[in-house]
Amino acid sequence: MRVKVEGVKQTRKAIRQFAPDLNKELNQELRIALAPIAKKAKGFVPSDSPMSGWAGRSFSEAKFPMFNARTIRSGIGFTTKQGRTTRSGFISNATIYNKSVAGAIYETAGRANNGEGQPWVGPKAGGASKKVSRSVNPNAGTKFIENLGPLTSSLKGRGRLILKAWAQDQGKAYGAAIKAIDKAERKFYDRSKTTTFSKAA
Amino acid sequence: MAIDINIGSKLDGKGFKQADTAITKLNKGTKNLARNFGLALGTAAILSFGKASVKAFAEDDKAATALGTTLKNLNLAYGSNIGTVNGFISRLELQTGVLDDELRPAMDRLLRATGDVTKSQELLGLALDIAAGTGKSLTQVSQSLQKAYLGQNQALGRLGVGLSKAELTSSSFEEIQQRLSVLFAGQATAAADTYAGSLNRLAVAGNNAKETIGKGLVDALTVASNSTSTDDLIKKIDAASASIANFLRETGKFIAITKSIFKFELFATDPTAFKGMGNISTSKSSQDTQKADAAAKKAAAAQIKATNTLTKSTKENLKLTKAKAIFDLQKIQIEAALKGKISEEERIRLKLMQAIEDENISQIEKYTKMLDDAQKNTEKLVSTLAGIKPLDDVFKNWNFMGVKEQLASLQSYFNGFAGSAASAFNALNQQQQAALGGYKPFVGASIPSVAPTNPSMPSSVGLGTSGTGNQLPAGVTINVNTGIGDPNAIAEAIDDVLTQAINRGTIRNNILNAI
Repeated sequence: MRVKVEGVKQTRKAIRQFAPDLNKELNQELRIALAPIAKKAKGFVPSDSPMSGWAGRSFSEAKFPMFNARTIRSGIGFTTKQGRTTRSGFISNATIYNKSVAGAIYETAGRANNGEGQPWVGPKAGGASKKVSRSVNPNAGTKFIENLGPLTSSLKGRGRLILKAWAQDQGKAYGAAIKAIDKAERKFYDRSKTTTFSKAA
Repeated sequence: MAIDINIGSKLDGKGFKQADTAITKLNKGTKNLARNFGLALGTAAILSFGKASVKAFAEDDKAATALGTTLKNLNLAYGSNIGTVNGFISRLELQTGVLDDELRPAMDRLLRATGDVTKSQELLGLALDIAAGTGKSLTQVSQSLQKAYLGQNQALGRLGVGLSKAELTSSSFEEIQQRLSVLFAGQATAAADTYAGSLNRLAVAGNNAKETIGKGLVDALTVASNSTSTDDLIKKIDAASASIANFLRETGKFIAITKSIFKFELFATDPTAFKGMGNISTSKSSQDTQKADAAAKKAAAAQIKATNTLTKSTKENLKLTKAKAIFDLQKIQIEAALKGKISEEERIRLKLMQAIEDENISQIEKYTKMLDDAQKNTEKLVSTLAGIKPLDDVFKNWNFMGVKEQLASLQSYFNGFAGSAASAFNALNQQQQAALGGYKPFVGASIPSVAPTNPSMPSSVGLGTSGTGNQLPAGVTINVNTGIGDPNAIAEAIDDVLTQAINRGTIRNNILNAI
């Protein structure tokens, strides 16, 4: 019986349920493709805070997340599971993530304002906008970004950790991942022509 | 917040397909619904048009009445002048494709500014040209022209009419108007001749037809519903729309009336129907308009005269002020004082005085604030200085008197010692004295043949009772009680006393080396 599965989500689900060996093989190949990126990205995390003021302290005194190399490293990883469908209707087959807040700051600081920090308004300015710097030091934002080092451009955006690793990989991981997904789908459909599927236990 | 790199993203079309199917189903359902309720929808559409027509007529009538009231308020409502102005608006509407809904308020605005029908007509024409040329709304352009006529030329600059700031500032309104007439000549007519313009003109015709139909409906409905006014009628129509049964009953009457109106031959026989432009001249004003223009001209002349008088007076005042300033001794003195060597606070005071003399409010506020600050700073400084205590006398605890007393005692001792030594020496016979050589006070000292390397006196030698002859006690220890004090000062005092003793000959010169 010819199987026709509609939707990306449903295809992966079908592979998982009716061809677990293919699913295992796909996950393995995705892991081989993506693990080096995550590992490399972890290597870009400096062991000490780029600024003494951002280093973690023995007591909590501010809302701003403190730099902690271990937390940032543990927040970097990858998943071979499918993501959620976005508002525009797209769904991802695998994801490399940098999920810690401090890691995200280290990754992206300086992207929005071309390395100059947010516009400075000072601590006495009114409003509740978070798009401005309310520090007493007008150059705080710029200095912060300077100390973090330059951003690296990749096709997925500019960054210092996973995006830098992604840029340095030059699309090899991407090619391998896409190839693995296509191969799994193709094999699944090929198998459907010859085999009768039954739901895996 | 997390940063993700999504890999192998694909469009999940399943949801879209579902949505598409749902919409198709909905469309089918709607069509069926429309088929089933076609009659009802048609009736509703006619009713809706009827309501819109009535409203359009009411609004048009309101605008026309407002314009007439403005003319009356400005004393320009001579004879058929109101009708003339409305006729002008109607012609403009047909020529340019701009609705009278916009033209009437614009004319009203210009009339209020100029107080002159002809001038307002000129400016409205110009406003239409500018609006067509710049793409701005007629309302916006007419507001700017109104402001410019009243002296705010900058309002025109914002329209982007191609006049520089300098031109706008330095030119009179007449000059600007002339320039704009050249810059935007024929824009409105050209715009009306375009495809879009033609559509606008069709829209105007449609709108007018709607208003005319509305008027007919109002008349008919007023009669049919025993309404006293248009507002009353609109309320009744709204009420009617709430009830379908009532709605349909009323609609039957509407349709009958509407059918009779749509018979076009009626237009020719209806004395109130539209008959074209009539015999109103587009180039020459009517007698009433001319009368109104004359009155406006007179008023304008009076206004110009008053303005000129005011300007002359202002200029004279300015000259007088300048002349006064030349001989203003107070100002001269302040200026001279400012050039001298003065403190910052004095400079601020002088500047404040200068600002007061010049009656410059902003400068007065500025320097008053600065003076306040300076005074506060001075007070702060005075308070700080008052709080500073003088340095304590570091020598107050030093026991100088004690040292002096001790030194006096030491001196007295040495004096006594010298006396005792001298007495002892005198008690010796001549040979004994000769045997002592240069060491007169010391009894029992042997005179070495060769000068000793250590000139200090042996501990066994001295004045006292236990030697050969009168001897002093051996190993004299002198304690000097100086209290707490500067060691150097004490040492110097001791040195001074010892030097004096040496000078008196009561102590050997090299004793200091032995200490």
